[in-house]
Amino acid sequence: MKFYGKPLFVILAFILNIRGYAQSVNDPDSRREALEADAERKGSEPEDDSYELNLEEFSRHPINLNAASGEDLVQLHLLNALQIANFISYRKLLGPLLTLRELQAVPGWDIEIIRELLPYIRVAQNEPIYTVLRKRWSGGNGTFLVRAAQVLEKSRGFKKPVSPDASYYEGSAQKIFIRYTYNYKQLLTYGFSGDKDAGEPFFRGAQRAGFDFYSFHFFLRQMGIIRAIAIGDFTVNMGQGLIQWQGFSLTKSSQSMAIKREAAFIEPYHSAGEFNFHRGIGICLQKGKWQSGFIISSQKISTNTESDSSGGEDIFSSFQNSGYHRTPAEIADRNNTRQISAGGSIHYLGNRFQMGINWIHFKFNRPFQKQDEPYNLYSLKGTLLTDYSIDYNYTLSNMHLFGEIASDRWRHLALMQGALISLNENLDLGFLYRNISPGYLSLYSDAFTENNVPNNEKGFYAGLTFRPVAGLQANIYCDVFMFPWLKYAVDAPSAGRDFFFQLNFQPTKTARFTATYKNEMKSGNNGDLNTATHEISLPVKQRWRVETNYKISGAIHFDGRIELLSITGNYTIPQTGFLGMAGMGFSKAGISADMGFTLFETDNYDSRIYAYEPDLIYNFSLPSYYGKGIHYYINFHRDLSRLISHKAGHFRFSAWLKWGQVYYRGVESIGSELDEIPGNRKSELKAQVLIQWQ
Amino acid sequence: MKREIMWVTYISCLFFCLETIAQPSHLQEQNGYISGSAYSTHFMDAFSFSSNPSCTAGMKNFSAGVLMERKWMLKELNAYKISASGNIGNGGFGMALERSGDALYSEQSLDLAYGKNLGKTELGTRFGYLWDQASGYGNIGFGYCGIGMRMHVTDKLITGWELDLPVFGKAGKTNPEKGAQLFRMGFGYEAEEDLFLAIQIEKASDRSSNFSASVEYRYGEQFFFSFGINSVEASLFFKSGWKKNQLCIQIYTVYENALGFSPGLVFLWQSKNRKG
Repeated sequence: MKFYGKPLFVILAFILNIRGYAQSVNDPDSRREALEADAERKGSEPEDDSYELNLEEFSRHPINLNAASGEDLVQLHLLNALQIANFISYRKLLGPLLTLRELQAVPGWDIEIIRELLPYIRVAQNEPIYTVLRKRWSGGNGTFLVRAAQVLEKSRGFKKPVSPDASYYEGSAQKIFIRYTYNYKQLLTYGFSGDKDAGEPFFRGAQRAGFDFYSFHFFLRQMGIIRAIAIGDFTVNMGQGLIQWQGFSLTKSSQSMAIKREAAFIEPYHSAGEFNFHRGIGICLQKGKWQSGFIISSQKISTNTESDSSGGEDIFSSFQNSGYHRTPAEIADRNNTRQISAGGSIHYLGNRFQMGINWIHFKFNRPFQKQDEPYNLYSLKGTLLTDYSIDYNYTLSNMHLFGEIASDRWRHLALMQGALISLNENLDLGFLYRNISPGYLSLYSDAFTENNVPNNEKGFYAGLTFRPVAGLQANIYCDVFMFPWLKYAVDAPSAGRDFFFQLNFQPTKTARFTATYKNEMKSGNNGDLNTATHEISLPVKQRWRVETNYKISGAIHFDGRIELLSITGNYTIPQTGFLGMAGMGFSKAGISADMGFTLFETDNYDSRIYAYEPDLIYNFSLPSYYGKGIHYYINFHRDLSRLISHKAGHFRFSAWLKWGQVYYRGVESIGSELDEIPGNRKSELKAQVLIQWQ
Repeated sequence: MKREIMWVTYISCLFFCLETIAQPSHLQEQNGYISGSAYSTHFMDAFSFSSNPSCTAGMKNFSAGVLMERKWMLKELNAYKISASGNIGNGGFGMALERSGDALYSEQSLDLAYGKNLGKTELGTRFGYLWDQASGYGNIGFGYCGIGMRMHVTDKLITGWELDLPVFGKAGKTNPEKGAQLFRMGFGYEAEEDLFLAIQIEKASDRSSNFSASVEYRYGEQFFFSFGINSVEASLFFKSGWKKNQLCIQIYTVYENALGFSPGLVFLWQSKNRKG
């Protein structure tokens, strides 16, 4: 037995002793859950990796807590507003920190939070904050990244069209992304990126310039009164996201206290997404307690255009925000509308009280007009949109109040009002009320709402985090909401509610168990009735999830997960879903790898389950599992720096390779329309090379 | 280089497993014995590895057992199982042979498991073969393999999972059916040396997810009692046993509301501890 057993376990151990630090960025589990919640809400995988890039940069150049402003700490997205306010007050009251151990004395900061922060913070005394501009051009980090991915099975879109009118993909099946960035301690960053999606032509056809999407950014921070200046592509964030929010944001997730939108006014944009950013100039100035920002941007966007039946100019009926320009029809829509935008904000930044006004204006070179449907009654019409808002936040002892009131140019109002309260060291509460008129219109906005955009919604959210003993934490939230007007696929005013309960148990530093229950009730059309309008059904979706995360050592890690889902209710055929997942990872001496299996079985697409899996660094993989089948992946990373002679610590050359396959049972094809793949198997290969130097 | 070759070989086998996935065929449960002892340190016996092969690595001695059950009190559904497991070096093994049914319809299975101790973690693998005989319809057989893992989170808490995949075999000619895939996750908590709680969640292809929970309690050195529930069949499980030296006798019954009682008898023999 010994003879046969040993080789077998060499094989198993080699395969299974693998941990998921193929991503070097510290990736808290809560971040995974937030990404899953976001992917489910938006129905697509996120593309913006700014947060991961920022964390990577902060791990290389940790924030000096004695010089950090609240805005600097916000960029970590690991602290809530009350914790940041408490820290700033603590430092002001007691002077600069002497050691990191002192952080345990900051009200609202617990060991778990400090442990998560440790890779990104440090304490230094009398260190100059600013560096002269000419010094920033050298000494920073240059990063060049190339990523390619391809689904190996040919979908229908890549096959020769059977008729001249048939739609097809004009380009090849590879997805390619390149990016160069230079970053000097977040004080100076510039770079460019290019992105080609699968099916888009490359150096031929409509994309003779190569990539379908190019992006350039130049971003400078902290130059005297100039807080930040952006040239090229950048994102804009205002207030609580009612009129504008393009940066990092969380939706309802296990982070039940993360209900406040927090980010700098402008941030550099360097992601593969082709829609949610501005292209132009932005500047943010600060003098004493007054901060102001202005942006002006002009960019071509892709829209679906239609001829005006009355003989007027062509209109556009929707934004094509997928970024796909693969078929002749999609290529015809590419960059066909000019969008000019301008905006600004002026804020008073007191110690405990901050308040400001914001405005943003959009102008298009052709009118916007959605299809004439009842649910589109209040949608945008014409070429202009202007939004204004006033936002504030106020910290009073252990309570942090924040809010925003906004109006569009037709005086439709939107209101957000929230509070974060720390009752004691074990219990935090968060409340958020929103009341957004059905007629309120905004673009590139992202508030903490049930809808994808802040519109047509009233609701009240209450969340709490409770830590009764060390190692045990409960996250709970309840959200009730109503939609006063119709929505897409909901033919009547409707309502719903969410209830979420999660228990985190961490018996040791290396093991974590999570049990989650979620109950969602949200109205929708009864799809079974074949009538012009539908009865409204109120299905209840329930989820149960158990997760285990276990680190054997610093190098080896195991994850397991089981998720059950059920949908029941009037006019609803009961549906169920199941997902079982086991993953293992290994990371040591420049080599890391992940491997995972997922077994899934759901009745249909409605009972799909999203699950995060480790991917190439700066890339996300959050497949939605539906149908029946099994998926596995192997993600391998190797640091190849030693292959090239360099000064120690000044050069990094890394490569990633990921292979994944999904097998469906009982199907003859996968996908639909042009993405339909014959057979029951879908295989994807991804490769990435990253070169960093100083 | 040998490692790489073996790695590639194993992955190739895995691909082969996946290639064979089609409509699954389900074989009848052969017995209703419920035990979460695969996720314990002190409650393991010869049958434990049926829930997770990696637990064989935690066996402290050799154990063999015989199980007999009359399912729903029907002679035609009598089930018999012989099982043995024990430790070898820094690992353990398990094997089981099971049969149920009568001359008209019967089902047999052979299960081989091996586990390796890696410190706080144990890895295991399982290879099995199931075959059905139906008078007048011939025989069908399915082969499967699985991997499992068990983690000692604390001295009292053990968790683990197992994934089984069909490797070969099919039933029917027009729409051939393959064996089922199975994913199982379990948690065991030894509150005291004489009290053990276990929870298992199991999902097999095209079947409802099954949740089972059990409590085992030892009274002194000689007596023990167990109680469990099984969600899919809404069945209850009671077991009591008497132990004398290395021999143990257990009687149990499974109760299902619609189909009634399934009584069973188990004989277990355990060698003296070889490990601490």
